[in-house]
Amino acid sequence: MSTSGDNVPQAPKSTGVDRRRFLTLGGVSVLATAVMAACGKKGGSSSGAGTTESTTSTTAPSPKDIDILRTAQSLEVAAAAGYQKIIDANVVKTSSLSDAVKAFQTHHKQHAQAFENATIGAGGEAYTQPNPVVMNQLLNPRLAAMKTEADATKLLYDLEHMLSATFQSDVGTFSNIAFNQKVASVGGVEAAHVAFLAPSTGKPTTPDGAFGSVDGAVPTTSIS
Amino acid sequence: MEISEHEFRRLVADADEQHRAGMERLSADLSDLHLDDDRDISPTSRRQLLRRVAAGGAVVAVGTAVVPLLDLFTPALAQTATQPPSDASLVAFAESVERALAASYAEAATFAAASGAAVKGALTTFAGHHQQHASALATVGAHLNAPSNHKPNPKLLDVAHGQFTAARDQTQILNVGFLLETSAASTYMSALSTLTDGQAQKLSASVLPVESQHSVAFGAGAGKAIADLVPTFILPDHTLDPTKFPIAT
Repeated sequence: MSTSGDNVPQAPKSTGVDRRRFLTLGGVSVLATAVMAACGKKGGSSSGAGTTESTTSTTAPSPKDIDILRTAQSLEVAAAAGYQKIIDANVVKTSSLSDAVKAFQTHHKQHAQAFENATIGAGGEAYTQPNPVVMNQLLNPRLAAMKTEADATKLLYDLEHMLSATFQSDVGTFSNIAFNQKVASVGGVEAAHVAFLAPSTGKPTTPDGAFGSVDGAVPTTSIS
Repeated sequence: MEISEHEFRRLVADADEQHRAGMERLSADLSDLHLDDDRDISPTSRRQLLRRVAAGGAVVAVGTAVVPLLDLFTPALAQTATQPPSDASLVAFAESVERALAASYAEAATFAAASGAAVKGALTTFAGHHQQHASALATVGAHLNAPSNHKPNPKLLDVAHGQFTAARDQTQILNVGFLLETSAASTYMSALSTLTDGQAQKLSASVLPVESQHSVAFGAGAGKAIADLVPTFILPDHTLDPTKFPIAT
């Protein structure tokens, strides 16, 4: 069933993402100028998580679908790289948290592989490099300043929350609805990572309340 | 080692509660309190995870029978029907599930096994979340002319009631919650394979991660190891089957 969705009350915090707005990464609002510029280049063709785009179909993958999948892979590659730097820095001393870091990094590697497979399956070219916006705006600065386990934990929490928000915002933007399940299957795990890490940063396991938030979602133009 | 009541209460506190003046800052992180040193950190799936839990004796009482909880799940919504369920029916079903979870948690919070403030607080907080989910689903359902009567799913309510009633201690209460939340997340996963309405998709996408977080809170409170707590992917394997859990008539 397809409907326009006009005049339908919105699910709390589930819609209304504006991919042209400030990216909020790690509690630091970052004006993603590179993203904005890229949006201009591409005419915002990938900024499809807004409320006006409320209907998808079961059609074949579109170029936009592939853009989203490639961006998803870039984010997972960046996440795995970020985790590796934290592992290498050896600042996480608590054994249980250290093991979680290793486990979560493995998850991200497998997520990246899943998105690569999906991209190729959809006829696209895999994006095997870490997302440049996330690396430059979030990970590299925070990793450079990281000194303690608390620093690392907060960074990982912010990273995971950004991933969860992004994959949530991706749902409903695909031409091929099969990809909704793909990103949700990963996003749900990122949300679980958030819940695990949250208490160590002084936050509750459901930091967004009853509904996941898309604040801080990274747009596809981040890899343009 | 089981998580302390105080720690668990912190886990499930609402966001605004963290700013409450005088709230204690806990020195140890959550993980230290409930993870063993020899745990398996290999990737796992919800299927593996639930099999482990099931092997551990998780059962449900349905009427007078006690059956494995996994028997009530189905591989995927679309695989059990001659044709995929409509958006309207899925939304109505999801609303009934949310209302059943809200009602069963509210009831469980009154049980002796859940008398600790931490567990009671978790059940109460999450019941509130499920109530909000149900309300949002009812709104989307109205748009879709969904066949909802805005009542809890009777079978799921019965199952959850039986499980919570049978729970003898806090850990068992938490394990029941873990299973219910895991199945809820899986159910939304399945729904997203067929939902075409944008509002229903977006709402499902915003609810699924919270169910996943609930499962972590319950599972962590029960002392589950990381491999059992967080899977590599959310899979539709343990979807609640609408044919086994029909909405109230």
